[in-house]
Amino acid sequence: MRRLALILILAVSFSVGLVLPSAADDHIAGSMKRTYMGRTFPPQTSEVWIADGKSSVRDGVVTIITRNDLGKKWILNQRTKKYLEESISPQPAPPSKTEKFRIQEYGWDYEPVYEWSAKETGEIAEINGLKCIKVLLAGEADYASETREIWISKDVPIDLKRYYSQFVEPGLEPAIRGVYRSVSALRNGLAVKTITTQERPIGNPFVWENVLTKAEKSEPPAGIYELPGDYTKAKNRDEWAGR
Amino acid sequence: MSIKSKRLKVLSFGLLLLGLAIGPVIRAQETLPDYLRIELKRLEETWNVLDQFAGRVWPGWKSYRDVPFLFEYPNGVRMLVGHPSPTDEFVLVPGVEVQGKKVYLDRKNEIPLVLKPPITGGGGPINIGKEKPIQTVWLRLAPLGDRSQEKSDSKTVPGASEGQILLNIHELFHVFQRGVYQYRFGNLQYNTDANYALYSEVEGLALEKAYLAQDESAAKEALKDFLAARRLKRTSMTELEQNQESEDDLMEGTAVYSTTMTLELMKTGYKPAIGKADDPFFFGFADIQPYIEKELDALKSGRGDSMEAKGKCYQYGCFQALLLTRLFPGWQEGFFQSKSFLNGKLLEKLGLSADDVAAGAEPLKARYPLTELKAKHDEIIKRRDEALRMILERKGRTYIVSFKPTGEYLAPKSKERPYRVGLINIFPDGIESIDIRDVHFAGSRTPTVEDQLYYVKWVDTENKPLAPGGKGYALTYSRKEGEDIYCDAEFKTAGFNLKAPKIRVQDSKARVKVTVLSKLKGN
Repeated sequence: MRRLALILILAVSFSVGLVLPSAADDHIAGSMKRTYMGRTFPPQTSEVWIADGKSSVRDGVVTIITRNDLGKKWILNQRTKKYLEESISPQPAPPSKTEKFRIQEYGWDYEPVYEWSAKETGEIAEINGLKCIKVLLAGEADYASETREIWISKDVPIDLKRYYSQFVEPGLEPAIRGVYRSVSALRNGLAVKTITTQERPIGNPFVWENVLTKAEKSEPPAGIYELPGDYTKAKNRDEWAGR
Repeated sequence: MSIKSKRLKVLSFGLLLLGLAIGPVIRAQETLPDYLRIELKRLEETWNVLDQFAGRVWPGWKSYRDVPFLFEYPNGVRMLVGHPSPTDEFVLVPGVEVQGKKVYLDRKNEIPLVLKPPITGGGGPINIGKEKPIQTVWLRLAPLGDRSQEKSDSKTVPGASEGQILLNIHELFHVFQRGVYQYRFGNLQYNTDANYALYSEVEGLALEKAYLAQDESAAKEALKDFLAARRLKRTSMTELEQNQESEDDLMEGTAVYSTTMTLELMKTGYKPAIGKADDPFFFGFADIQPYIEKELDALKSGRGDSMEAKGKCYQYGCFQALLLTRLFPGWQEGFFQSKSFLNGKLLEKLGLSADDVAAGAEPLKARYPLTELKAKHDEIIKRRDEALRMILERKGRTYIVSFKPTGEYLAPKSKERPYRVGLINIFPDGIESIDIRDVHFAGSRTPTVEDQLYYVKWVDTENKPLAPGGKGYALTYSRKEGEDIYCDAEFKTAGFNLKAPKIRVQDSKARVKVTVLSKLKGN
């Protein structure tokens, strides 16, 4: 689950639309560093391929292939060679009213419900040779907070409109979607650098730094949007994760 | 000054420098404040105790001296001992070593708060380090005086270093465990129900009975009761929760067992390495028995707690292990490696089948006051559930007070004991007060919640204006910093009054959040 959450952050981190001709697929690569309690963990790389109606996102050992034409996505675990299949639903399913409340589990896991705000700071900087503007997002929940310092550039040779509609927006939580819709820079650019600081209710803050290492039009590797033949379907998440 | 005398002076200075460079390591007491110096002495004594007994407490328990310690204090100081790869905020204390282990201090966030020993606290192993994270015993400590409202037992001297040395041993045993056993199921996070509470108490009664039994057959019979009660208790638990509970018994129980067995062995002959001059709160374990009796007392006082699940694993696990040692000596050999649980080991050693355990349910009725216990637990669980329902139904303006930047867990004072659901503590009649240094929170008689260790939540169902502009709160202060920070502030609502040296007030559509930024005046 943590891996999936990271992919979501990645999607949001690389958000931003110049409408460019789609001569080839969009190829975006990045690297992420996580710092916790004074230790910066070895960087992790990620890679995104986007074509009309389909995408492939790899982060560590997890790859998510999304096929709008088939209405489904496959979540692949490279380590176990197992995959999960999920249907693509435009909105997350509302919680079931018939789901039984179980007192035994209540109150242990705090899930922050953030109230988001955005600020276009007016700051401009050149990062990795790209002219960027800075947008600050702040999320405040009862017992947690999160800030995202996002440096955004329009000067990238990818189809930003497609990138946003096909890749970024579907991954946004409803609470933050309004902020993205209200800030043009977030919809019309690509995040070159994002620093996310998460202050959890208990314990020390987590800091992630995502940096864009590549944004280009390129021919994708063969079969990048297909389910690899050597993977088998997992019955559940535990089997998928190899637990 | 003659050339000769000048040369002599230079030579003397050079020798002095050389002396400093090659001289003996500076003793900790010469450079560190008392509370840190005493801590290092307690660590030395911890190693000394384990040098004498660890191998007899558990086979293979050896490398405790290689485990770093991280001590954290309410004045913001952190001390790291014996870590091979400290993170950047730690600075080496020149010349100070504890038996060859280097000492580092992080004073970046130090505030001028005087810490008066004795100092006690708790914690657990965490994985930290810059290049190479390793298991480190992390302890959050505070002067005993700060926790004067905590229940103290009369059998041992409050604040005695013996208690802290035993705690060090407990945490070091956890690090040892992790070398031979990996957590498979995670910590139990479970709220009790009436059935659980009833049979959990029976478990505790049976363990006491077994422990105090004069002969082996009576002890074994009581252990069968324990296993039968455990089976009945677990009807509302998922398989994962059952495994988590057994794993908690295993990990925490054997850690408590390690200190209890250490104490038992100390009775046969123990030589302290430190004395009163090193640590005025150390009494040389002159009276060991009260420390052993504390565990039985904790078993007796804790087993009847209707709302407690996880907390019982310390004693329930310990007494399972103690009984295994008494009835089946040598059971520890290869135990962790076998991935067995303590209750599984008991089943195996007692030669009981699942049917035998099921059949053990009926005799419980005659041996334990089930009707009386059931009535007690039913009532408390009913009240807890009503309190949760009530608090969830409260609608209005939400106020959150975050004490997290103070770094101190909350210990609210109230007339009534709170109802606990997960990390939520519900005070139906309100919190009377919370005091942290120069921070004072005074609550009204209104349902209030303490949650996630550092936060208070209150919902203003009436939302009557208390200040111009129609706000439900009034804020006074001596000075403002930036957009939303207030110094020497008083924040009043109909539900509580907060006074603090520095606060941040974030007033949004969803909530009013007040964060206490400083706990000391002038900081």
